[in-house]
Amino acid sequence: MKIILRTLLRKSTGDIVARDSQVTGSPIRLGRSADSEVFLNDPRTLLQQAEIHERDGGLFIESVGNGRIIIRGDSVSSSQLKIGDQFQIGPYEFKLEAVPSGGDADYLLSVELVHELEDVQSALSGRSTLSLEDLGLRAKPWSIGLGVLILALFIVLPLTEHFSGEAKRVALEQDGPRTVKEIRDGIKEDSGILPVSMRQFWQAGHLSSSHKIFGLDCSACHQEPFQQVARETCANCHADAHDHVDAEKFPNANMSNEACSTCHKEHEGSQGLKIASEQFCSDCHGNITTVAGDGSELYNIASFDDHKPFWYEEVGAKPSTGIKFSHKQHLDKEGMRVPDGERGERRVLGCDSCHQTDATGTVMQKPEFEKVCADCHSLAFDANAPDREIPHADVATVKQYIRDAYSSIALRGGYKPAKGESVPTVVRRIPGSQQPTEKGKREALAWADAKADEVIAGHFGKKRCGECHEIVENGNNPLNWTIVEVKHNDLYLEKGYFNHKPHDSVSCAECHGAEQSEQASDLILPTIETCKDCHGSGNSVSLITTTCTTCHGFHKKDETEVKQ
Amino acid sequence: MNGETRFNESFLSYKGFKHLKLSLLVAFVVLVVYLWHDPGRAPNGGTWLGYTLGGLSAALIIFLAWFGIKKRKFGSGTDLLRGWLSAHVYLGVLVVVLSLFHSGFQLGLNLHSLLWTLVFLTVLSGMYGVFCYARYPSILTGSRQGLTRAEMLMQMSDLDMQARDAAIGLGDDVNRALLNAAENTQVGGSISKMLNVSPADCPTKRALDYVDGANVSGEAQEAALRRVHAILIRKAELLRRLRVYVRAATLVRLWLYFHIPLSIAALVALAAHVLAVFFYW
Repeated sequence: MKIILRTLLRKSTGDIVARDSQVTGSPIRLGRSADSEVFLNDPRTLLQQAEIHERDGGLFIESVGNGRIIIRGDSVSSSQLKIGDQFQIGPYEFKLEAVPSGGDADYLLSVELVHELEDVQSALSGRSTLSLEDLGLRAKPWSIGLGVLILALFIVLPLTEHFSGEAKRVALEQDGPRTVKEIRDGIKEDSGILPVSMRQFWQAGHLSSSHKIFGLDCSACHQEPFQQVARETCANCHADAHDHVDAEKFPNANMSNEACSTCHKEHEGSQGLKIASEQFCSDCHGNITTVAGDGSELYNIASFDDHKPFWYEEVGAKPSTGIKFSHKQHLDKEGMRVPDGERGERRVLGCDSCHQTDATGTVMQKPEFEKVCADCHSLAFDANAPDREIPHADVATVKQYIRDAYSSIALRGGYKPAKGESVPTVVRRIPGSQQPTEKGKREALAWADAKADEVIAGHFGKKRCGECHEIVENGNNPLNWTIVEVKHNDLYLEKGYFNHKPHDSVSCAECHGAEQSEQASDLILPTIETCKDCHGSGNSVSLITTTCTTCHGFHKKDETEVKQ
Repeated sequence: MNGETRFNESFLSYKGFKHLKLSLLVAFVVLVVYLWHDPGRAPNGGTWLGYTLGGLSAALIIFLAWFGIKKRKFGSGTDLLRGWLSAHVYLGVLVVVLSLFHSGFQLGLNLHSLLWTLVFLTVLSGMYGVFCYARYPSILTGSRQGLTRAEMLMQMSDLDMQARDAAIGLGDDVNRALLNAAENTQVGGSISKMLNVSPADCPTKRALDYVDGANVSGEAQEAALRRVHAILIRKAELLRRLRVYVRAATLVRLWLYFHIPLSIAALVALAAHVLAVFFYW
């Protein structure tokens, strides 16, 4: 078989150049192999790609091995060829044509490389990225995107939440501040644009425990943008916060124009709101004689270490209690004899046998006679009337009680005189045996009066009361005595507060020293030095830190008021 | 050593570490004042010291960001740029310290700590940038051996064509491998590929491995295979060098893709921080 192989080359101008050559073979082999009749110089073809056979008067093309032939749109491994057929092998396109007249061959096969091998260099450059810019990466869009995201999340959304929340608040507060319930309901409704409030991320720290109730309703306090929270806003709830001092008297300390937040820092958890620093107070009180000027009786104090003795520590300053009492005697370690007890029975008393604080622990309650004394200290006044006891009351009531008691006894009769005592018959008669005569009654009452006088002025009256009370005689009349008024102070430290409860772990004696006190006038209150045994200023390394506000309040009227 | 390298090494020690000394001095003074200052509660941005440090930090952040704009006006390698870059680096680190003191070391889940984190990350990326400037310029120049990137690519393509010509009479499998190596070998393509100097699936490497293990018979075929092998080795070496270069060039630039967006984010967060603080004063 002899064929003319026409190689077509398409120029860049579009012109086609044809180069003819003659090949002979049976079959005609197509492939990359150098000995192929049709040499296909392209790595995309196989060494032996296909063969053209002539048999039975027809022409057939058959692939060798795995090569495929695309003819009439189908990928086949063999096919008959007719004049005019086109087929493709790899990047080549073939066309079988009739030999032009005069040609010395059986067929004409034109071949054209229709899929050029790609331009390797530009392809490699195109695939490769040698710099980040080649990847299309730019810092600018990322910068703008991130910037806009933060702008939206942390500026636009919080401001939107503020203005919508503020509008609601103003609408609700037309008739005065909202109730706590209205605030709570508002917070539940107010979810903002996002499911989470973005304003919460404006908070640099947690709200204090007591203000957490306002949640994220920032407008509850922050009502005017770029302004500190107003005093009036705080006063909605804290109307009773008293000025520290009388501003008229001490204009230097006038704080009526100060925002509360000048001192009370919110959003610092629980620690910012309450001020416990010594320095806060000592800024003024360290030099208070100058700061306050005339009219102040205060002394300069920079810390607890400078604290002067309590007022009652001055000589002669202790107030009279009006009571005669020996703590030492009552706190006898062997105990006290029990009057109604068995022979030799003794009861050991402790401080709490008589002294109890109130529920808060701050106030030591007044020991009541009936509760703490009467068990041992009987107020019976006559062996003939053992059930009768003088009421622990004012002197007049006591005297009247004694008179009434003897009148009643005299009229009833049955009184058994003591040895050598002269008692009228009518008073001694068996009770109920006979009605006393008028004369007898007068006689009985005269006896009762005399007896009452004797008791009131005597052992069971004046002397019995005088065991504990200071008796005041009045002129020459032995019946006209009275007692000194008993004074009990609930609080001796009126400008500070003290609580017994936190001191529970310390025995009473460590501060009060009652075992050595033989007189009530000792007024066994602790001295400042007693406090300083355990408490020290903030600078102390070994003592309990005690700042001004440990004991003193700032806004409390009672503690800061200047006494005239 | 060329001018570029000298510049990269010298901006840190500019004028006898002038800016480092200044930053250390400021940090020390701030530390002393911070320890001395007793606000009576936990230190925070709301005390006088807090406001002072906050203002100082904010001013520094704006100054540092301004450098990013200003430096475009300087000629590369000038003394002025060296001075500014030196200040930028040391004052940038100082900002992280000052803003930490400003916050009283209180960090939480909020805008204010986000700002600090953004500043911190910006500075961290900047520090990595400084590291890159010190380390990679010599690699960048060394790896190219005087060639441009385009020349390296051109040489590789040339080698591909040479290999193909040499292999045209060799087996189909060798040709397939070479074709694959020519058509699918890639330098870079994605960030991770740009950072990978020897990707396991490199077609050129596979072609080389294949040619290494190929068996042919006949002297002409063996000679052709040896030629192909030699060409591929040259290409692989060129490819490795270009990849080393691309990796270094990528790292020298990549940190900026964090540094710049982070710094813009930090600037916006700074505005939000100041607004939040004073809006709800």
